[in-house]
Amino acid sequence: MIKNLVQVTLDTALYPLGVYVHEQRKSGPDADMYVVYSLSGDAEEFHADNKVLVKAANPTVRFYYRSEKLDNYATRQIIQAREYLIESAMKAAGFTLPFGRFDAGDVDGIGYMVTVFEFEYWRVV
Amino acid sequence: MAVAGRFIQTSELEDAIAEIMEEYGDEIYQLTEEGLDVAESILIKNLKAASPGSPPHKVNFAKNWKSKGKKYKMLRYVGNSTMVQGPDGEIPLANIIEYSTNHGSPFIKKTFESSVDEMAAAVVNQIKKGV
Repeated sequence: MIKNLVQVTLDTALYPLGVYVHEQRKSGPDADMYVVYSLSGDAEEFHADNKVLVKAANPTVRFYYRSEKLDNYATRQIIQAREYLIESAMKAAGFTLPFGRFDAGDVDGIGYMVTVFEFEYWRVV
Repeated sequence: MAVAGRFIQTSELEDAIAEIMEEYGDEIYQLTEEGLDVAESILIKNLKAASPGSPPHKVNFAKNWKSKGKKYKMLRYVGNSTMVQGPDGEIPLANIIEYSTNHGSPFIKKTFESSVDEMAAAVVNQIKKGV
């Protein structure tokens, strides 16, 4: 359910812009930008009468873009716009971003910079 | 109201209580800050223990978990200063381990979450000791 929500939310925002969203690992041809998300946790937060009342899912969204996109102002502006779009689309879908997004660098060593978003999604179950 | 042979006004009592509460609040604040120092050291210890690779790591990754100082009141920051060379310059090894999809072995967030109860208990204990 959470994965579907992440996929649909990000596809709706990014697919029209040619940015594809992948679960856990990227597949297909190389692109200038793409997104990979994973679910890093779905903890039980509140209980009552031995039943789980509230759960908090933690999807991690990684936005990849070619490192040379940082070389000029126009492409940097596009990167920032995509980052903002990811954040605002996810927030509109009910996710929170308690610690904000941050630049993680080229974590895969493939010439793509990564912006990491660690979202939370609290829900009554 | 008569206290110890003299009369005090209700407003004086309010002021006296407010003053005591303020002092009490200051003391709780100070103890919480001390508790956070203990909580921080617990997190550092747990992160060191959970860091991948057999110590001593060749780039001292486990050893390099450190407090990043007290920038703001009631907050603590813990970070790892180990940097490694990437194709586009140096990059924090912690970012690779936590977020890389091809070299990753995430443990930082999990360690933090599993340390929360221990850290909270440390803060409460510190407050209890002081009051």
